[in-house]
Amino acid sequence: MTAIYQGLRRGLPVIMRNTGARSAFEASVFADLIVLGKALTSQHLH
Amino acid sequence: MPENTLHEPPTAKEDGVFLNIPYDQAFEPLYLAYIAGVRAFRLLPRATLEIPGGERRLDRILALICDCRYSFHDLSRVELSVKRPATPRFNMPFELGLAVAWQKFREPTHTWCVFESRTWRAGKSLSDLSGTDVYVHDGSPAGVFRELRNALCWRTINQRLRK
Repeated sequence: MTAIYQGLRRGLPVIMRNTGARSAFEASVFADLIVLGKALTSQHLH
Repeated sequence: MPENTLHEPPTAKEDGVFLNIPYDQAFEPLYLAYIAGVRAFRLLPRATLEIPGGERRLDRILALICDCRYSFHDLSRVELSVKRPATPRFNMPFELGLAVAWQKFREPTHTWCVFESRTWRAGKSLSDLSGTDVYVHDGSPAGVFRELRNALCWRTINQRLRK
């Protein structure tokens, strides 16, 4: 969980830049975090 | 919620988790922790954030709860707002009430869990919850991970037993 969390923390600024979001609580950011979370889960948990 | 769902409850998605959490900057680390933790259990985080506007907000929240197998309600920020007039934030306990009613009267398989940052507070602010296990995360991401494991451990055990 910690590795996934750290990956999300690293990814959040990139997601916000790419989506032009002003807050982490925008729909597009939430959607991207879920997708990133899935990728990180596959990477860290087998 | 569409009218026909009043007669035919929708089938909840087995992996859906409705996250009833505050949307504010100070909560951002725990917001990420919930997404990470739920994802680690190979479940799908859902939140009112994802639903486009247009419909009445309450209908959207109800539809989301009905669509999820689990709902996690974080009451750690049920406090008075800083801006005057100081007003308590009732949205999260209200949505918890909707989930409890959904589980009690329509969908017994729906599992709702209450999360808090302090041990004593939920019992004080919402005494109707007495007898309910509240998952206390101490306001830290590590605490959220710990309590998600506690809340979902039986799911892991069941999956292992089925293998």
